[in-house]
Amino acid sequence: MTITTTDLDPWQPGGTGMPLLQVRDLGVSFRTEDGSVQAVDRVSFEARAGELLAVVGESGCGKSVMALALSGLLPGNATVTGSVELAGQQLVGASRGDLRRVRGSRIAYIFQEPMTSLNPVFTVGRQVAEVLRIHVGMDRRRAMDRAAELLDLVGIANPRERLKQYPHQLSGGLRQRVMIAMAVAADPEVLVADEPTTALDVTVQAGILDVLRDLRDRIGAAVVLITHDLGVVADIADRVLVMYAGRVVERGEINELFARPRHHYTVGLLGAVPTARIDGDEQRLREIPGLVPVLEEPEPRCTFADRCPAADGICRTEQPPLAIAPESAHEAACWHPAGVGGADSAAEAVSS
Amino acid sequence: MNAVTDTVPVEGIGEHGDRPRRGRLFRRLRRSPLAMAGLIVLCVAVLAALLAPVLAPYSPDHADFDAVFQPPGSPGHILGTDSLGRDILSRILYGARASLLVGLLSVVLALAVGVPLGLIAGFFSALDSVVSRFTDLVLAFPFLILAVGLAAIRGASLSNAALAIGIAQIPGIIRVTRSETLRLKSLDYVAAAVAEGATDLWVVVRHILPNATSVLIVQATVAIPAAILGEAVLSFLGLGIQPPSPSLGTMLSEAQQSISRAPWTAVIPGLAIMVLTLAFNLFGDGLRDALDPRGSRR
Amino acid sequence: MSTVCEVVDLVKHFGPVHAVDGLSLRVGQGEVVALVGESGSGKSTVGRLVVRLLDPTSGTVLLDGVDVSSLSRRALRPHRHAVSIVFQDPASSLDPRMSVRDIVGEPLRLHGVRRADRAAEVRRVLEQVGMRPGVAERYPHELSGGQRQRVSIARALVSKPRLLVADEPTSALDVSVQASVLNLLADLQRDLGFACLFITHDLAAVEYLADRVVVMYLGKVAEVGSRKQIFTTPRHPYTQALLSAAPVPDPEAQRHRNRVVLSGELPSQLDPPSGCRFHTRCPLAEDRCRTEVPALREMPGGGSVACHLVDDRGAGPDVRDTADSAPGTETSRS
Repeated sequence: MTITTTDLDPWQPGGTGMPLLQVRDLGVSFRTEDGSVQAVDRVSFEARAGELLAVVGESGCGKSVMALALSGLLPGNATVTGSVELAGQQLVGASRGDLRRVRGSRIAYIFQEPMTSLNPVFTVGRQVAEVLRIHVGMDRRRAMDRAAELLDLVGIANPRERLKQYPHQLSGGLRQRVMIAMAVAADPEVLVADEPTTALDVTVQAGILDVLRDLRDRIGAAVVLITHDLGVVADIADRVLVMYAGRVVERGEINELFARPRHHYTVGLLGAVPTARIDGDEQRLREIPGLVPVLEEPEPRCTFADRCPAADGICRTEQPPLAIAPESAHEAACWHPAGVGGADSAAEAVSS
Repeated sequence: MNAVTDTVPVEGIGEHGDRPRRGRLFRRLRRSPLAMAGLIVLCVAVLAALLAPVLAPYSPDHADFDAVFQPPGSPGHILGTDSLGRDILSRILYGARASLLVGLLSVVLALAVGVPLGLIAGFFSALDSVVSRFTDLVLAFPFLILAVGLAAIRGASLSNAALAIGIAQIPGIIRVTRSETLRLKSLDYVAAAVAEGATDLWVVVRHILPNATSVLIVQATVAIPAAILGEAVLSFLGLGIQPPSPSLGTMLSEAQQSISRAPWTAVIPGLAIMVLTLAFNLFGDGLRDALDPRGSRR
Repeated sequence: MSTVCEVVDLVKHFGPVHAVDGLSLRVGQGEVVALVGESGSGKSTVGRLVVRLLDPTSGTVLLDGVDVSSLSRRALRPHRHAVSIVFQDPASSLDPRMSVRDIVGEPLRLHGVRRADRAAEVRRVLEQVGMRPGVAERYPHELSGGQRQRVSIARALVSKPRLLVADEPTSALDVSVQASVLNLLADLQRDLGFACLFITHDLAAVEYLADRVVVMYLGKVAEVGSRKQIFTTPRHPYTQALLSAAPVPDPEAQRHRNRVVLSGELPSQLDPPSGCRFHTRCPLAEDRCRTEVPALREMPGGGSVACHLVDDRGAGPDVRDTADSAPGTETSRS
């Protein structure tokens, strides 16, 4: 028996503003030479104005595929099912023309590698202005002025000079800021950032995260941040979506999720990060045995069961729904969530 | 002693599945119908050429003056006869044999000389400029002049054709080997071997060469049709195989005079050259795509 | 504690690029020394110099007292088994054409160990890294990233080295896999007692594994100290900035931290700044920092630091005090 995930995220404190992006039962499967692969399986969430939603997972969890699926950016051998509504407009199955109009102006992306996202033969100014000219219809002069304003908005000093520079003359951090400027140029409703700081040094990363945080507050877009770095999540996310093997396994407000993780995968993930330890306290890092499965088709069972310390019979035969915990809107797809009914004391090991 | 074995990860399969490499290769080849067609034609051609003495209804030199210029479909001569009454089918079989032999010999020569030079150029940067200049020199030398020169010294023959063509292909092999070597040299597992104390010879022979073979195989597969065409040209010009020995090139050359009267004497060998060349090229392309580690694209 | 590896004034220039400009460090018996830095710091170059994959422009590398930096390749061979390296990228660190058994056995083969003996050693070391003996038949493409790193480690340990250089061994792995590899390294190091030079940019891993920490910036050493010193009382402004910038997976703590955002960009290695190389981005830079290169001075109580603003008793300013504690108010302006 297939189970669909719960419908609407219940309103919860911390999430301001109205939902700009509503994703329901989004599924993506690929046809490959080795058979088919279910990369994303019935993922549902909302992205709200002025809120930063972090999507966390490791390789193979489908987070990047999901991000691309939102505006139809996947290659031809992908099949997308479900619903993606951008302020009422349905994007799944929309025409190519419609999708093109939406991309860049209503949903904007920031990717991991700024070097390959920026065209090396055009100046920075010209590339930012191009977004304005295409999506907002500005003339060249106004576009350049606005481009300078945007560079300033993302914290680039001497924006007028920078406009005339080429990408190779900028450092990685600056290039990423330019990417962000291009992404917000047309005032999008949704900003999707896929591992925007992974390729950057830690000291530069801090600055980029500040820019993202600033934008979230100032322009009121819904920001969806995709990352594998729990530190980054802790730094700027308001709500968190944890993905595993193409499914959402846990969803909740940030403080709640870190303090009281429910799903055993989340528990494992948090326990795997070396954190501050008191001198002499030899704490072993928590390991998750086994490997992430690659599913051909959605399976009616918990896909984490084979690696879970708390799994039993029902876990292998029935897919757990994303259940709401009684006192908050914190949800986990688990038959035996941690910290509830004493299923496992792992939660204590994590909450510092 | 150590607690590590408690947490042995489930020995799952890696991302690529448990299937052996070779199986994957054939499956990927099967994706492309053109490549498979090329492979099949090749196999048929090679078999036919190998079994020419068995398959050919007549000896290729057997002249039958009563059956001169028989058109294809004549009794006893499926593909007809030429100006001397020799059976064209038999001549094609033996001719293809000669062409394939030249192709094979020349590529073997090119590999034998080109691969070591390419490895040296790629691995030892000090020797790179020397080898590269040598390569440029050979490339600049006109192929036909070389063939004429060889023919003048040694007399025209099959081995001469193979020699000339082989020499002409050496620069291409050097270049490909060199660039593959340069790429492989920078990989971590080569550094690991050096850090373990491997000598340069060890690294080149045990790490670089085995990993360069797939590229070289593709290169060779594509070089053979060029060699076949080259042989046809040389024989046509009288610099290679000499008549009456059958070769696709000599057949074309001899057919020049009779082309209006008996067009099949030229068309059929021409078609044979085309089919052989096309089959090798298609197969080579398919092989290159199948070996491409970047995987299939739809 | 006896010294396994000592590096003195190591310099490496790649033509005009100054990758390493005068680095000295010591790794003692059974000690884990972390070499920390960001891109352009030169830390990976140091790792390769120690293993003699690169020849130094000047300076010496001593292994158990023997100067290995000036030996010829041939004279170096008998010393190769004493130091091993594990690389960052599991995809390219194993020869795809070789089975795990051949890969792990290669160091032994290069030193003339016979096949039967090799097989036994390979089995032994595979078990040590927590893999079943059956994995010896497999090929790299059949293994996951974490498994490949274990094979890399097995290969590094099979010759029973005195020093293991680990160059970002977990950076290319997922978080949960990183945990198992870090645990493995910690266990092995404790059980087998080899010295380890752990090169990384991940401060959390450093805190978990290291005994001492060397912080590098643009080819030079900024600070050296014990793990406790570096993490509780960092002296060099760069170390302080690094610590404050590294995000911690704890939302409460993260939002109340004093975060420093460094201004400007990383200078080029082609033309390093004059004086203290960090002065272009240091919030506390003074005139002296622009003109005079700070010497690496030893501090009472251990550790050393190269900064003009730290006095001889080890006291100095903390960059993090100048930062706003509420995030969102810092922007990077040069």
